[in-house]
Amino acid sequence: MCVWLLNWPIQRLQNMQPELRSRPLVLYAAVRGKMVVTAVSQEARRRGVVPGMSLAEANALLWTAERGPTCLTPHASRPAILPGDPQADREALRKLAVWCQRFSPTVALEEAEHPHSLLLDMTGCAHLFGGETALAEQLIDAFRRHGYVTRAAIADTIGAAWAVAHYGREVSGEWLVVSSHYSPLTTHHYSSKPVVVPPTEQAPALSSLAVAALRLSADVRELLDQFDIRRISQLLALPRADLPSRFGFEVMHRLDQALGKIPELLIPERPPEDVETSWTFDPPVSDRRIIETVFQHLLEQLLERLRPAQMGIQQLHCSLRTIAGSPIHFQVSLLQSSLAVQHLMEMVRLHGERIHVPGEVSAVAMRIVVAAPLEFHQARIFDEDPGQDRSKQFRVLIERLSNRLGEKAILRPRLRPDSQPEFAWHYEPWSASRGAWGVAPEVRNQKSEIRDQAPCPLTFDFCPLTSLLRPPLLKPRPLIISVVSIVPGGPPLRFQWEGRSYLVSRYWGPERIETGWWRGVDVRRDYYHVETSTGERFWLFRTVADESWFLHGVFA
Amino acid sequence: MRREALKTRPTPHASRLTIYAELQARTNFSFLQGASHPDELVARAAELGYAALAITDHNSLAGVVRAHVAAKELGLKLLIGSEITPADAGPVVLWASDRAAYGRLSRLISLGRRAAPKGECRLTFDNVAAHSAGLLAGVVLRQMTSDDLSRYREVFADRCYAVGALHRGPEDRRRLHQMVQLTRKARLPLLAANDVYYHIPERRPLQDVLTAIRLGCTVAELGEHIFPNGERYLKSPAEIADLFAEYPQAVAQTMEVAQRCTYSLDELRFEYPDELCPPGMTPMDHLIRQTWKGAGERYPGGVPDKVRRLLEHELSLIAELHYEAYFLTVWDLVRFARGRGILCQGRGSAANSAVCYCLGVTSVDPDRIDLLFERFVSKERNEAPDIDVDFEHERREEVLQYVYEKYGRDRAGMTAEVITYKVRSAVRDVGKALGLSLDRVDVLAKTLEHHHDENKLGARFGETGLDFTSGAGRQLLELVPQILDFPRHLSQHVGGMVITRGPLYELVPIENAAMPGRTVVQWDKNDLDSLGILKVDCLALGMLTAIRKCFALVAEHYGRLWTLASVPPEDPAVYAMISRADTIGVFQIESRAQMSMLPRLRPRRFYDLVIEVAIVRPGPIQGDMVHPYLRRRIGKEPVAYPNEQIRAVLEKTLGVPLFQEQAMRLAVVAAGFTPGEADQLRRAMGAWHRRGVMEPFRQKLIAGMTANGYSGEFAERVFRQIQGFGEYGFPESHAAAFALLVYVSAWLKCYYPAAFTAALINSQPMGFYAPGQLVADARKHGIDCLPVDVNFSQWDCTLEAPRTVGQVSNLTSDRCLRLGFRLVHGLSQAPAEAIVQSRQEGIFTSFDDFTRRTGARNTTLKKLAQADAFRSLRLDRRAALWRSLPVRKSLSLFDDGTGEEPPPALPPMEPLEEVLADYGTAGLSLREHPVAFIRPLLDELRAVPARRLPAIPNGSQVKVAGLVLLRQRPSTAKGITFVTLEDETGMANLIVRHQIWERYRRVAYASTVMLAQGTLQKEADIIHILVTRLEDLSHRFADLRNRSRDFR
Repeated sequence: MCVWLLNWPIQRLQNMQPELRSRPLVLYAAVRGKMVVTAVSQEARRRGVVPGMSLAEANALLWTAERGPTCLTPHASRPAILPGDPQADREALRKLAVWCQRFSPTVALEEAEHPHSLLLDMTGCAHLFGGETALAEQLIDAFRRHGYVTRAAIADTIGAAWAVAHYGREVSGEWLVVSSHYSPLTTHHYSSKPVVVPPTEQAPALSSLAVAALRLSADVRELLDQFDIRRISQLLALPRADLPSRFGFEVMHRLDQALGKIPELLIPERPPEDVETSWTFDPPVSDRRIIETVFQHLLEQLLERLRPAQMGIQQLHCSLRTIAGSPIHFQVSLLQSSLAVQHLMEMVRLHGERIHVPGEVSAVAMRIVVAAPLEFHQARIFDEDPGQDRSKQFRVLIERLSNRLGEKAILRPRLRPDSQPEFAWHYEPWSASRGAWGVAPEVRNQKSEIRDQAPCPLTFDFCPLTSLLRPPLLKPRPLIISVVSIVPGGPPLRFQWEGRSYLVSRYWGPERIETGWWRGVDVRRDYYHVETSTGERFWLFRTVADESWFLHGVFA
Repeated sequence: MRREALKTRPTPHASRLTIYAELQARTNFSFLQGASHPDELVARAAELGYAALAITDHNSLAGVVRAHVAAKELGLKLLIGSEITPADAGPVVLWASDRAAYGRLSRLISLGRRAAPKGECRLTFDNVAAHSAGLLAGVVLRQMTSDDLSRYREVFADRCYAVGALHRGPEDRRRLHQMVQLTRKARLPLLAANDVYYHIPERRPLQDVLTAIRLGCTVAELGEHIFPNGERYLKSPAEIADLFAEYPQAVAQTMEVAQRCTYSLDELRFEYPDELCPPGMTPMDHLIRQTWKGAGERYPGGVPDKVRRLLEHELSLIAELHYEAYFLTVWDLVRFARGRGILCQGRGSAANSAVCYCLGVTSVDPDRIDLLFERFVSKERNEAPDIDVDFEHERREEVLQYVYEKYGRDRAGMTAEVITYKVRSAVRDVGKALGLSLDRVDVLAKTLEHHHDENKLGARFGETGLDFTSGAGRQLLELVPQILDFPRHLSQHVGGMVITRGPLYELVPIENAAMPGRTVVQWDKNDLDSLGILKVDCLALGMLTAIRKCFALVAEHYGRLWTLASVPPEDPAVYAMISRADTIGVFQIESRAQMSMLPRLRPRRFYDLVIEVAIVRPGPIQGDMVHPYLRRRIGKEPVAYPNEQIRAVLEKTLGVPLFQEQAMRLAVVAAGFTPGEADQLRRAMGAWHRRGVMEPFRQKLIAGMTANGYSGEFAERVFRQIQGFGEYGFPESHAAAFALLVYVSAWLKCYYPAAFTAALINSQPMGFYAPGQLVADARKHGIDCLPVDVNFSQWDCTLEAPRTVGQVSNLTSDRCLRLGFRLVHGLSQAPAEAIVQSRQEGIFTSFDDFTRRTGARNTTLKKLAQADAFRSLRLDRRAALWRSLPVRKSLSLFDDGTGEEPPPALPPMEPLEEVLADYGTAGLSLREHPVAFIRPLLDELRAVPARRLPAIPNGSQVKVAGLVLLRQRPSTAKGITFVTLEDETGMANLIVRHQIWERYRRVAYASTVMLAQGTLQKEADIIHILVTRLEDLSHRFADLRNRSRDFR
């Protein structure tokens, strides 16, 4: 059986993001340096966009079809123009293939650069579903319930099933070409009933279909077209001996495959290595200790699978199904992958403490989200290096706290290169920084790329931005203060803050910072680092525009 | 005091207290770094009372000429320099003290640029050291160690300085202290500088945006690559003094450098090559001799008195202005081209002189056109005259190679073309830098496609739904006008060659162009013009190729030898043909817009053609000069002149200024400009859309004209026209040269239509029409066109004697046109020539004979079969293709091909299929027109054949249908699109207004066959249809095809 997911890349996206359904959707890709449309939705097709068009042309059609100023168009019907993602398309189709294994053990993707169809071997399965047609109908129905539009066909050979699914329609016992060109059918041609080619009848079924139904390459199709050979029957009428020398072996091969003269192999998709285990309680339980024991059991199972690969768990997803409410999910994250049951269980337990379980639990499951190779430290014989031990203890502490209190509870500040002090740092969850202590690798790459491109570094001469003399205590936002200075525009002389009066005895500056206009507010400040007569040091600034004074930081 | 300095821009008076020269400044020719034009920096420096300004672009001298021109005008001392960053040492600013040092700097930059990919520069400390003589060095104190300083000091000795800048960083006082310590230790004088990136602080956001564009990220992502404040503007000397208050010597010492640099770009003037004349002769003597020799050849019956007087006058003027070298250079090129049989034609102000006519540079007889020589070679302007030479487009490369060979690669180079930001690219790049999404930026840029008016930017943005009152929209709206006209990179000019006496790289840096092996100098045409450096534009013109090929065909088949100059002038039959707008293929006047003008203008003499060429141009159209001229020409409006002076300027064009020269003369005569000012006006035209550049001229012009009694409306019109010329300048002198080619090509079309069509097709790509239309036009004129055939075709189209007498009787032409293999899509020349070669033994008798003798490869066979070129071997397209497909085994002598026949199952091709296949393989068909096949349907739809349109009364509602030949939207036509449809009877011209175009955009944009409905408009002999509805008919052909393919 062949199951064709019509216009698959579009379907997939629309299913993932339902809000795209009402909008004209166009996918594109770079073909030889040119942006070319690769797939279009019904809506977009209605506006004249077809695959193969240049993106610029599509753009023009989509936007001008709006009729009138685009600002008046409701957002919901604005065109969406996105880059295509063939990899994701294939991945998603593969997942569907695995899911289809409930119908047949052998489910494969069609052999194509961009597969849009699934192929199922139904030998020995059909009777379980009440016959071939019934199986196909159930499958189509299951797909439809998940929002997928399909056309399915059943035949003796893969080739014939593919051909009929894509090109065939049975009208009063006769096979008709639905579309003579190789343009994917639209969802109009969706049919809830599978097309069935009776056993050994593929030859008559195929003969009136277009030659494109044979899964031929574009070159061959074009050549056949020049001879006006458009249907398979015409191809069959030609002397067999003439075909290969003129059209290559592909034609013969595909023809024979479709007619069942030579076999075609299905390479079934296999589900990914199972990294999930579950346990069903019968009857449901509410005792935490039991649940915990089961969790530990499941965890051991998972670890057993990881051990041979020298992998450890870094992120673990746990879920509990309850009788009363919705399922409960939580995720355990470690800074370093681990195989230690005790340690992992402790983390699970810490999470458990935060969770309120309403009523009885009917099932629990555990799934590995991220597994990573274990890190080994060679133990030294006289290793008394307290630093390493301490850092390990510290890591465990962070792990415990993060898992007990939640990821967002354990944060750490990070410097960010930005001239405006308020934006020169930010917090990030400690456990989020994978690879322990460094900056996330993707950020680092991006930065170094920018630097490589720079013909001349603009970094500030003597002291780079990040190591400027900055106060250790920065106020979350600048506090307005009143200041007396000797001359307008001069350094501060005395100032009031929190009811106290300070006399400035020394100052450094002004350091001028003018930046951030793209954030909507053009910040223009003159910063002074001041030391008061009582020995405290503060970071003050005056706005260039209206000369008001603020306190922004304290040097402890 | 500091406060004023910070808050308001100081007045020039306040800053006179300190004497200061800024020694480190980047213009926007440090691409995507500097955020001000060179002239903006110069003007601001002059305003602030700087003692001098140094332009020190990053590895470049590209911006110095513009700065020089501006500085000269304002009397500011300008230092020429560049900032160099060697790979193994810190950055250094180099200033040229004299001509020799300048040459070394230029050579150094050339060295670094040539060693690196386009746009980059790779130098080492040793390179700098090797070129150091005479150059002053300012070691930039950034991350400098004292080692670096002493290295530079060793090389530059007492010409070495250290340059330090203070930008209100966190610790300026300490920094200054460090700088002083460092330089003291290295025993170098410290110079104050501000490392300037823009002229006023308001350019800070733009500079941030430029950095983001350069690094390919958004402004928000710039991080530490952004300057923390906006201090890199031109500060007042007082401010600088304030910053360096603790070490005032730093400021004072800048004057030392300024005084040591005595070099000015003016010293580069007229470095003409020496070898232009034989030894022992002065160039002027040589020129005089060649001119009179040429005059003798041009006028075998004796030089007419008028011409003799002209020659004497022009030659004395040339001698006075020292232009002889220039004329000799051009003459040399032309002589070379003529010796090789390459057709060429000079144009430009000086080209239409009697001297140039005698030298053979132009073929426009000075007797035929009355152009005053000194009007263009003016004494006051003191700059090189302007001659562009057009060569055959296929052979221009030979001329360029000759120049390189004669002067050497060291002394000849290609002029640069500065690629600048236009509205579209500006919106695209700035939008991206501001973080707008790519598709949004694309849409924005797209909407601005045909709108140049920056004042309407806001409105256009609004239409795309972008909120331009806040956020990124507002910023975009503010930044885009600022970045307009900013140079983005250097490209190669289409044909400008610069030739020098000494090595070129000592005149101007040379860098790699995008094309491998090509180099380009860092200055463009205008820069070279400003300095009076010899440059010649060697341009490629397709029509010259076609004319030369046509002359050759005529010589071969009709035994007549013609040249550009010998074609009989003022032939009434030619003008009659032109007035009928029967001008497909004729140079310049073949476009829709030109053709619609011809019946109204009805040219009767040569000067009418000059006007015709110039009038359908954006300049006159934008200036609204076309209709007044037409009205006067047909006598609907009286021709009157405000006074005699104006009559002298405008008489030739019936009182309407149509040419650039006239607009400039008007400025002089009517508005009281001096010729020098008029020339500035001409230069300003090039940059008119830069805000404010034109405004002073506009005021002066209008004030001057109204003071002299002209209506304000007329003055405005003249000004608008001048603006128009700026962008698409088309002077009379160019129009005259083009008019000659118009006349010659029209004459050829009139008398040798078959040869003319063949020559045009053989010169493709060129011109307005594809071979299909040219062939259709030839057939309309009764020329028998024969298809491509393996037994008769050459690579080029050829002429054949008609084979049967009966065939010729009803044809007007005595020669048939045989289409060449070049029309077969995808067939390359070599295999085609091989076929012609094998055919010399006799024609091919069968397909197998053909394959055996030519040994043609399968791809060639397939292409020929698909093009239906085997008809003379009694094989139709499909049968030939069938036989061309199998891979042939090694050819044995005995394999005489058993003549396998195509299987009977192959369906025969329907006539329409044949036609469509013709179009698919050659772009044209000699069979029936495709539209003929849907004529019954069109009758049903009541669409009229194009031929019947003239019989339908003006203003009627009509429908026409046809193949879309071309869609054209001139930038001046206010969004109107011209569409030409072709059916089996002729062509129909559609006018589609913007509104209609947008409504039917899908049809209008994409369909190949369309049905148009609209109002018939007739004016003179020109028929248009003002479209109200469009319908796509492309699918009808598919239907037809499908129906024919149904087997039941």
